[in-house]
Amino acid sequence: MKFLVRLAAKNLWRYGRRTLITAAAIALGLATYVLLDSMLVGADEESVRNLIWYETGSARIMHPDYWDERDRAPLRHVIEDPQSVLDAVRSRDVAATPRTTFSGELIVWRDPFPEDGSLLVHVTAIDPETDGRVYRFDQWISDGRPLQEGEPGVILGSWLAEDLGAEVGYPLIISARSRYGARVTIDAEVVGILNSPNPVINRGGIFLPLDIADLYLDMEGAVTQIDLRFADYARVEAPIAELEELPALRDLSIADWRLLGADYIAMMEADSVGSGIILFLVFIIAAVGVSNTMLMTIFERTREIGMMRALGMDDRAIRNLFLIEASGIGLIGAAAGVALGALGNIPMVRVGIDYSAMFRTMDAGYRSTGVLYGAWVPSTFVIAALMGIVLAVIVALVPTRRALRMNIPRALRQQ
Amino acid sequence: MKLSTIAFRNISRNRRRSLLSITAIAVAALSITGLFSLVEGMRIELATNIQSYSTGEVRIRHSDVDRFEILNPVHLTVENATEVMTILDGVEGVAATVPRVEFPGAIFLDDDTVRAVGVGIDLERERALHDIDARLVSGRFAEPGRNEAVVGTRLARELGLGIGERFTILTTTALRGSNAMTFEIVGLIDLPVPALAATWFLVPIDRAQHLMRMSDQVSSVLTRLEAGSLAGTLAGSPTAGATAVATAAEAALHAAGHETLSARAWNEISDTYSLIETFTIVYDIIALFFFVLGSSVVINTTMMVVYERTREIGTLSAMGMGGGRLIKLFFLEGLYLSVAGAALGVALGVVLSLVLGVTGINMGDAISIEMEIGTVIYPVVNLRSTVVVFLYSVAVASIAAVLPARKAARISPVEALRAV
Amino acid sequence: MKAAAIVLMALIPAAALVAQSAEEIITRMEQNQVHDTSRMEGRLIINDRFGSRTSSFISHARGADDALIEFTSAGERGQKVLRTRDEVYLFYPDAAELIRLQGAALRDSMLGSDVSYEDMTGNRALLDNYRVRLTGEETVAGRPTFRVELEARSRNVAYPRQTIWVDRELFVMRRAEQFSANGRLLKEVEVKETMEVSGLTFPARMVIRDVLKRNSSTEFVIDTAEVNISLPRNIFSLESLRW
Repeated sequence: MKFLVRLAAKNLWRYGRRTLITAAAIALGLATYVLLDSMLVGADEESVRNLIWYETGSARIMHPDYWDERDRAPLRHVIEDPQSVLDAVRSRDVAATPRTTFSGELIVWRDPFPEDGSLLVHVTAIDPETDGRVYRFDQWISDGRPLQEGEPGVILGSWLAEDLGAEVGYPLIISARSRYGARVTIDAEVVGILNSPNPVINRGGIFLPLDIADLYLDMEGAVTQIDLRFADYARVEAPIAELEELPALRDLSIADWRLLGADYIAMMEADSVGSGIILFLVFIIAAVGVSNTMLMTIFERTREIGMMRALGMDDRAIRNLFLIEASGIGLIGAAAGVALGALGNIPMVRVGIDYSAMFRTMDAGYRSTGVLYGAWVPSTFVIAALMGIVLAVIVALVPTRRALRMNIPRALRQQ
Repeated sequence: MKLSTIAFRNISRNRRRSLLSITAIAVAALSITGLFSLVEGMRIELATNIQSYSTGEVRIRHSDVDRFEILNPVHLTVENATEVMTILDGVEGVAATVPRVEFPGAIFLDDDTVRAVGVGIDLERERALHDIDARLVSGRFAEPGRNEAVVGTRLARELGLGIGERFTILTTTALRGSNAMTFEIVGLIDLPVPALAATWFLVPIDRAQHLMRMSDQVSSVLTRLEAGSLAGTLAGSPTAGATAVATAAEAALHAAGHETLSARAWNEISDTYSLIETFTIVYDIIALFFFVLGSSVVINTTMMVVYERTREIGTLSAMGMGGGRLIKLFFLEGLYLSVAGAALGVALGVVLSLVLGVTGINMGDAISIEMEIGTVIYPVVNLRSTVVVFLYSVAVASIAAVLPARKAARISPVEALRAV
Repeated sequence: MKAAAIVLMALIPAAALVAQSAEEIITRMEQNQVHDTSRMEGRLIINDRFGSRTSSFISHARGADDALIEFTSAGERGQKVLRTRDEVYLFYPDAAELIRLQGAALRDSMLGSDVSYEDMTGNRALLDNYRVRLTGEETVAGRPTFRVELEARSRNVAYPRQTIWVDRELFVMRRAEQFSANGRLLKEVEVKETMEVSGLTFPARMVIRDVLKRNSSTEFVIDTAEVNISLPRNIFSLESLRW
């Protein structure tokens, strides 16, 4: 066996060019696979991130009856004592922030707005101090500044702002009902415009400081929800199970981001069907490429096989020799492929592919950042490397066996 | 001997090797053709759905509707609808005109309200726009003059109502008052767009006009154009014709005194259509990956071939064949192989797409509610991109063959003959 | 003596007026404006950014709670609104069932006007819902008035604050303003004309403005009115909606 390994290594060295080409085929196939997977996973991850970071958090604590009526954003079913819940949750090292969502009418007037108008909206009141622990808006404020406690300021999603013709400094009125049904109006000023990677937020986001909403809506400290972010933001089962044990949450319910963003998730899953097909096709092309070169390498050496058999080497040893050579090539190819993939992935993850320049009309319905980022998926690297080696060996098996079945004179005559 | 003959002979002599090269090219071409067909299928599905349900190919509405969209301006109607449709029928390129009365409203259930959109249709005219009969899942269409409705499947599920049951919708009329009407469900319709299936119900247009207090008025007139959208798509410009007809239609309407109306081509109306263009870009990036990988396979294979045949090259150059002719020989071999491979791949891709185009690929509930795309995607072969894929595959593969051949041409005969 | 008598005569109403408490002013106003029974014909003229339109109606009312309004104009002919103590029902000739409005639906505007169904149901028996305070005497549209400020007793009243100007002689509302909890003016009501029937004076033409939505106003006109008449039995029942 040791002899075979040494002979295989020598052969690989001797046929350096061939080894290189075959290994290159494997490497290229693997690198492409790895990069494409990185891109697709990156797109998926970005979707999840955009959902969790801007819309839903990892999970949300609510009054058990709130969920069914969420479309109306009622102030009937609230968390009466958010502080005890916040304390309990934070004691488990989970980031948490209180929010109140309410429905109301946004009223703007001509001058400075281009036209009088009113719009039925959902307003989200956030705690400026702790909201950043769960959500990440501040870096996306394209105009103006973040909200401040105690100041009736409003941050608008960029698309909404554009539709209204709103700019920083413009006054607007939010007309709503207090928790008890009395009519309230909040005179606020646009302090910031939010241009986040999440289109839903850009389209309809209206944010207000929580203490202002509390005061005007007569909430007396109650909030409609407490949003959470777990250390691993997308993994929710274990932390939720742990939180549900807390006495402070006994009469409340928790919904995770999958439930909160069900529509979004559904779209992503449709995407992943497509991604699967694409990766499969890439695998097929790569496999054809590898088998091509591998088959040739071995066919070419039919004569050599005949020679070895004529010299009395037994068939199993010859087969093993070729398989060891193939796995050697596979190993080199896999190593090179993984290295190449990793190298290519660095700019993919850091810089991304900017396809926004390819847009003809940027004010389409779809407002992503226009950059497709890659992702690091260690499992893909491992799987790809293993597949490269296994594929090389399997592909080598067929022509080797064929050559071994040939009678020696014929094999020797083979070109 | 002619080079092409030699090239041909070489190919058939090394059948196995040739087969592998052809396979590699074919698989790449197949994948890309399939991928493009899928994207094209989505694009056409989207376009068809937008045209069939939302806009027609050119839509005529009151010109202020867009401006006041958020205020639900149902009173901004197309007046004298009969005359307007006659004028439109006379516009060159217009094949059919389809009137619609749309009324968003609230359906009151025991203790819940469901938002829904009623659409008054003229069934006969509607049939000229799309195959509405194929969409009816059960029951029958509503008859003119009767308070009957055909309800979208998802809406029916949400309402918890079936055929034979009744519901009442409260809406704002064209006089900006309110009115309500009770409809009996006589049929269920499977609208291919989830968003519509969840909100739409169809009623006879005369009842809708009565409910909405419209006389000879409609919300919009949709038109189908003569060339047909598919032909336009195949010609590579799905939208140019529609824009021209829209301009002509608007001019004709204004000339006849209907100055409040505006006509717009479907692709200028829908935001969603630009979304699919984003998708197309992403798929183009993916196709690029495929091309690169496919090309690398070809380059690889050819390199192997060249090295394997170094001795042969040596013999040929020893016999006096010049470098240029050598390259040409390899190029020709590559060309033949790639033509065969690309033809095979594209053909298989087309066949596969055609088969899937009939059976469809079911994406289940996985498609977003908000998009104007159905749950089953039927790939459509796009002639133009198929030809492009074919030519590109041939070009890449043949050029890929030249690269190693140039190297071979530089080998000295003596060295080449010494090679294994 | 005579002069003294004149002075006294002049002083008596003034003294009487001063003696008026805010509660009394509101009570007298409601006596004028809220009738045991009534039948009125009138019009609703709605102006918004899209123009003006008129709906005519016949209304029957009993006390502060019950009312039945039937529309007679072409656009809404046969439509009826029944208001009982807590609920609003809508009847439409083309609909086979009644629509009961409750909860948030009551906040919708009636016929797209500046009046919500809730405005129709609330705003009665002011003293039950509001603490009242006389804050002065002002002249409104050439008429001397008391200015009465109302502050909600509980937190579930739609308009937490109101100001009403009541005619000093006729005890009819001349003007009203309704505010949000934080004091922003939401609606203003101007009484342009009043009407006297059977010794009771009440507004006959009012303009109601939703101040938040500029360029919209609703004019409420009563053309004929009969008060304290006998009404058909069961007129304020669900059955009567389906005549």
